[in-house]
Amino acid sequence: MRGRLRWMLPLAAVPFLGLLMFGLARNPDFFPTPLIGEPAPSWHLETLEGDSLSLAELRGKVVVLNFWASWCVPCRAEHGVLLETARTYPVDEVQVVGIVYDDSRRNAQRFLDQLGNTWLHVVDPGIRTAIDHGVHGVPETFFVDRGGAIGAKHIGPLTWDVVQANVDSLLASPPVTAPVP
Amino acid sequence: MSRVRLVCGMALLLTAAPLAAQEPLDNRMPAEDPSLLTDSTAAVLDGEAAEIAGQLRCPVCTGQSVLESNSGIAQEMQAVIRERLGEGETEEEILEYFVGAYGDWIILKPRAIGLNLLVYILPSVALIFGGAWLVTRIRKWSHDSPDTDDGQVSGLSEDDDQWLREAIGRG
Repeated sequence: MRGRLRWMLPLAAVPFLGLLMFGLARNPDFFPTPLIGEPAPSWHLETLEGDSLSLAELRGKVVVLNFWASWCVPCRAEHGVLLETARTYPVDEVQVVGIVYDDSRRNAQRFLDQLGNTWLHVVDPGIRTAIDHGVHGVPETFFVDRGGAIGAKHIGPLTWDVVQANVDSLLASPPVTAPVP
Repeated sequence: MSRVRLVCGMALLLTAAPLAAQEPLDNRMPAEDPSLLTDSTAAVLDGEAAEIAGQLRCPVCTGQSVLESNSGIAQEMQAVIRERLGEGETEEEILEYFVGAYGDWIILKPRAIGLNLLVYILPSVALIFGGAWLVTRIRKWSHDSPDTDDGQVSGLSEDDDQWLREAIGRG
């Protein structure tokens, strides 16, 4: 009995250690999204300039949909990457759209005045569009294919490598969903 | 001392993990002018909306439900629930909407489908088999009469018996 206990006790610890290692190695900021491959939630919102913009209008382009806020420090860090994105890809191929998350128009505008702005921004009253997208916090970025389906999602600040990999693959591949006539 | 240090280190490790890049809604600086969020003080959740909110996980405060949380996003989700109830949607449809956006993760209690079924079945299975095993073991123990005639303590292997004798001898 004593001989058996000697190896059974450590053996019983194995599943617990395995679970602990799994839990500690996991990125707590990563949440799998069920939206990959699905049609992107539709939205029709007002831009910071007061014009109307909808996702449907952007059909045919790859859309980089970036949820951000002026109070969000990592958003400040990724802003340069978005400037680079808008500069690199022609606007009739790739459209960057910022969705302002839980912020006032004034603060959002001031942020853009400071850091530069060459793309479109819409405001999202009551963060309804963010909730439609299953957003946990900012920044989060969705890459929408030409047919209006979500190709990829990135949580946290963007890097140029992430943008390039996702945009290039969406530009190269046919849309996941057929364009609505 | 080293154990204290180890415990402190592990505690640090555990608390540091959630501090990574993303910023949850709650850490925001107070806005100078009103933000675009719904005024949460205006409405109190009624019974059905509270019932639904209690089943949903708050996205920025893992472990709390949308009903319990005061975070901005939870307040907005409560507003979404109210609006959808007002439009005549059922509880099922509203839960389905949130699962569609956030995945099964958003439901606090795992739904009894697919792999999740294990959570519901395994404890009963473990209880039945463990109970049956215990019953047979106890029966066996109570039926075996102690056999001290040959000088060996009952139920032990020769090795263990030897070890026990030595242990008693030393004590």
